Amino acid sequence: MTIAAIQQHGPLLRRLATRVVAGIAVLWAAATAAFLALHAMPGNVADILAGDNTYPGLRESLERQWGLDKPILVQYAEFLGRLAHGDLGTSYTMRQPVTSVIGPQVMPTVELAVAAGVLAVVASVLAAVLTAGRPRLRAFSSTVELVGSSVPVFWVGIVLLMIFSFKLKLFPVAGAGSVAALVLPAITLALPTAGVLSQVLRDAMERTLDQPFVTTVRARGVSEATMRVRHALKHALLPVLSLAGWLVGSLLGGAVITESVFSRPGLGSVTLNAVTTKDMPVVLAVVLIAAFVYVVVSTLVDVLHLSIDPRLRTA
Amino acid sequence: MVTFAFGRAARALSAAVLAAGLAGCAQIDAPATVDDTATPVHGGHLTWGVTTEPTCFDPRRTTQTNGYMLERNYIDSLVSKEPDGGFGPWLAKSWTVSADGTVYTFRLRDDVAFTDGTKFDAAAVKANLDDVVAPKNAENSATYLQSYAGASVVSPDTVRVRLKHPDSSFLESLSSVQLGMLSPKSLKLGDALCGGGKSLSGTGPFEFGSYQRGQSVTLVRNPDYDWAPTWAQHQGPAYLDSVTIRFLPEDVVRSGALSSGQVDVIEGVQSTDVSAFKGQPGFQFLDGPSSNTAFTLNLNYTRGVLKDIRVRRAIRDGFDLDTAVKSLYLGHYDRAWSNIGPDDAESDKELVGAWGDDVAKANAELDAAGWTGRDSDGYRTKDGKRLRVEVGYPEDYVRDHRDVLIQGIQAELKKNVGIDLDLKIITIGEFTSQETNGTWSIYPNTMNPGDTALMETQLIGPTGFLYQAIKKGNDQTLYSWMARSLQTKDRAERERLVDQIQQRAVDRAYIVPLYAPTSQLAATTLVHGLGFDPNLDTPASAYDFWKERS
Amino acid sequence: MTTSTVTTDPDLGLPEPRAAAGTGRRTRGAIPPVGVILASLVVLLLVAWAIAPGVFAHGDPRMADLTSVLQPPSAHHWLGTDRLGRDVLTRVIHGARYSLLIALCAVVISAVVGTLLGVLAGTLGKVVDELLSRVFDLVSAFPAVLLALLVVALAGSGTLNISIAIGIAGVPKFARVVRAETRLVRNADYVRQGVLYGATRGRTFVRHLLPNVLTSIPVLATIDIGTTLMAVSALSFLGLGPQPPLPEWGLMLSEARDGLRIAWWPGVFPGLAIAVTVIAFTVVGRYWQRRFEGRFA
Repeated sequence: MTIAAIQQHGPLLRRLATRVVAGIAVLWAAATAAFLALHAMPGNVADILAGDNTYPGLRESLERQWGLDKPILVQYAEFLGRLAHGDLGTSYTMRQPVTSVIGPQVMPTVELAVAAGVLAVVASVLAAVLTAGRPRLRAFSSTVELVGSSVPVFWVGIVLLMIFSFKLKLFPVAGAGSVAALVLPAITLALPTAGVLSQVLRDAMERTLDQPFVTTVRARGVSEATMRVRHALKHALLPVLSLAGWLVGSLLGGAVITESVFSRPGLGSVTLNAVTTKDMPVVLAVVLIAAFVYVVVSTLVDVLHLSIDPRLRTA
Repeated sequence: MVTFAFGRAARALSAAVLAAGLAGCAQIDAPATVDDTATPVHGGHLTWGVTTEPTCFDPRRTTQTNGYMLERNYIDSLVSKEPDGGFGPWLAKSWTVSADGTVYTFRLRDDVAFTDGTKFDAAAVKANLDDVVAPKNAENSATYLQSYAGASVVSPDTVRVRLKHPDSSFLESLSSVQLGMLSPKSLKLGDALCGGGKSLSGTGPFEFGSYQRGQSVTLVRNPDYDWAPTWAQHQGPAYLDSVTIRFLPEDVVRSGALSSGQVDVIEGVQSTDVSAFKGQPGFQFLDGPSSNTAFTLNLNYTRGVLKDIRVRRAIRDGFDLDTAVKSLYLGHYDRAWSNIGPDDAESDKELVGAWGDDVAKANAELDAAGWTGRDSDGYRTKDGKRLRVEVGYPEDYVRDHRDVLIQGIQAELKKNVGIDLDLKIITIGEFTSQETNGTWSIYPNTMNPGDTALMETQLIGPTGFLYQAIKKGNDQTLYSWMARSLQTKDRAERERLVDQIQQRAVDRAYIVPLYAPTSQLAATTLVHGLGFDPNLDTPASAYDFWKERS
Repeated sequence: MTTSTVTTDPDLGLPEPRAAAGTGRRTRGAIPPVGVILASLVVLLLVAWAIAPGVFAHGDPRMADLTSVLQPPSAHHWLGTDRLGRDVLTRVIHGARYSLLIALCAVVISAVVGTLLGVLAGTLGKVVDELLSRVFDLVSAFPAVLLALLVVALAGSGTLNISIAIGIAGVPKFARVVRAETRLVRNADYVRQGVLYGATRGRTFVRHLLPNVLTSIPVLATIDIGTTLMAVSALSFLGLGPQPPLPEWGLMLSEARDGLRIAWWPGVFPGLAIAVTVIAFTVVGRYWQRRFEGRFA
């Protein structure tokens, strides 16, 4: 690496390193909180494992089998050790490694979230480009957005299901695997996100349209459409980038409800099941995964920002 | 064993629904004739939508009754429970019992193999039973083998099982899928069996194919299968090449999947959805028997205000159960009279019509018990204390609108007799602590069908989860009858004792049986061979299912 | 993550045109005043329902009448009856109390904790500020539903736990605003000068900070009630919130969903109530926000 390159990338690398260290700290804190949470549960873990059944010796053998008879610090050390190896523990109710429970559920949720995310971004870009700075369209569009982001997600899901699957039979009722089965859940999940995104995007575009350079560009005879798409939108997308973390979070959270309404497999339905069956290792694993995703996304966004906007590098 | 029970309300309702033109979901132009004399079609594939995704595919490690119909497809048992309540051969050809009732000698079929190729023999039986009771395995099924002392291999096709004491529920337990036979190779996998897969190998008519968590399980026909129990509708291999079982826990989605043609059969039809299939062209609806325990309120008679028999009786009689059940379930379920389901031969028939819905008497009992004051909300009080009883219902077990039924009773009891029946949806953890401390007040539940004497003991007896922690104030008379009913070999005496137990429990209001749940199946008319497992009341395995080519 | 030029708090569900960002920009009236008046009336009505439901609906929302289940809307039951024969209108009116109360509790938790942490972050120096800001980032990016599920898994379901869970998720949005205002006031010339003239730093600080916080927090809270209500109803829809037979809207919707095939009214009206409430609070809150925007600048 040349000196020039280090000078150029130095702040970037340092900042990246800080972020990675901070990220690991966040994950460690989350893991420790998770461990404490496991042991602060009301009701003995062995009792939860035993369920409805009781017979002499069952509790004791469960405690031995799950290492619950060891000192708490030993259990904590073992827990962290396993985590470092990517072992998220063993599900209480399924008696299987959490990774094998959660692993196959990642893809369906990613599919849903990506589809909904793309849908939301496309819809909000369209809405913003078409309505920014145009009072009437804007009023109409913001009313639609307000309603869209105010109607409960689960309600939208049920209504779509009733109309398009049961009555019109346009889409399959449930499941994953086919594109058709993805349509309704993706729309349901995208709706509130699109509502928020398009407002943010339009606000940013309007701010851009107010700027002096726009007048200059217009004076050069550039068509309104080109102006909006090539210049205003480009400027407006930068603030939206900082919403990426929130976007991922809201799609993940919304997936819990959407998957439940549409009987879709995925991280959301696994989490909900785990919560209702008190399967804490699974719940905590999902939380840790979400924390991990957050750390990765926010670090990426930071780096992207730095590389897009060099002014920030000295900051 | 299929009963078609429909109330007038349901018929009126389905007519209304039709008139409203809302039945568009059920428009398939196939003729509505179900001709089960037709020659079964071999081959084909069927998709079955079910309510419950088993948390574990090894039935000995789970208590999820709703998963057993799935697990029955790949697991057979040593003996089979016949529809008449007796026991017949299955993997065991015959058996003898020693005079003192502690030694069972089973002669096994010698033509049976597990789907992994291992031969089924006496050693496999011993391995299975030993595996269940091994403490390190902590298997839920061990609860059924508490009398088990050990097994010995007499010859490859003869196994001898010794019991610690006579156990009239032993054959019943052996016939359940929870003590079904798995390949000795599979047993070595331990908890990994919960994940299903080909390595979970039994002797059933299907082999475990693939599993997509949250989605489905695919079962593949076992071509060598030739050892169906006698009550099955046919012998030899299953008709279908393969069956996909889809997990559709949402009721609306499940019924929608059937009406839109995504699945061929569904299990667990909500009463609000029955009208979409029952009598509709292209669909069929089957209502199963009810021989498991009724959905019952267990009243903790050793604690608090429930110690007073008058308060318990007021709760039992202070509302119109019949109307509540009929209107909530739109006439699809019947109220219960005993905690043993009406279709079980040992359900006490004398209790029918003998109790309930006597508001005047309930009020008189409460007046006599000194609950004469009234607070501003209209509840009865004594010494300034409100007559309040908590119903702790673990949320995991809430299903089929049972919480709503309790709410209905709650409203009636408030209105009729001024009792504050406080429904609390609690967590399993909370219930477990109430259970281990014996501090629960009212616990609503049902139980899998099983040996009636054993069921009563496990529900309200000394070894049951409800009362095992309670050592004071228990009804010793009831307990002594239970002990005798479990040990006697005289069938008539046993039946008399079981009747007495039910009568005493209802009369002294230890229990308030509410309704007798049944399983339901709905399917397109192309599907044949649907039925219910005499052992479980749940739909039978897919062994007898076949599908017309459309 | 203060890299963007526009201060947007996505947790609000709405962009938040902050004073600093509004330089030279016209305030655009997205919602005509007539809409604001209408929304205000709806908010007033909802509050009245919540305070004195008995005035608007006679009868007990828990009172089942198993002789008249699933009656369609009629002159006697304007919004029909549910599966237990309970009057849906009565339940929707009484439901305002539970739904709004839980949402309000959550918002109060967010506002109080958020204000405290915001002041701390704004005054205690760079290390604390950086640390707290990271925590705010993490919590606000973490899905609120997932956070709430975690609390429920640990502490059990129920009204209070739901309020706490959603309240925690809302802390960052209040904390960030208060932190920004704290820093603004702290660095303002008049505070520095006040200190020069011998006024104690603390007193000057509080005197200048308080008015700003006291106007911005209620506005933020008003908008927040709408979004919080959505989260609350989602959790009770999933069966993790208030317990039956409480007439909470999300719970009512959840109870009605299985019967939608034969009766739409027990599910449609609570859903409508949620949507109308969220819209009304959001419209009123945004209007206030625009009104106060000038004062902050």
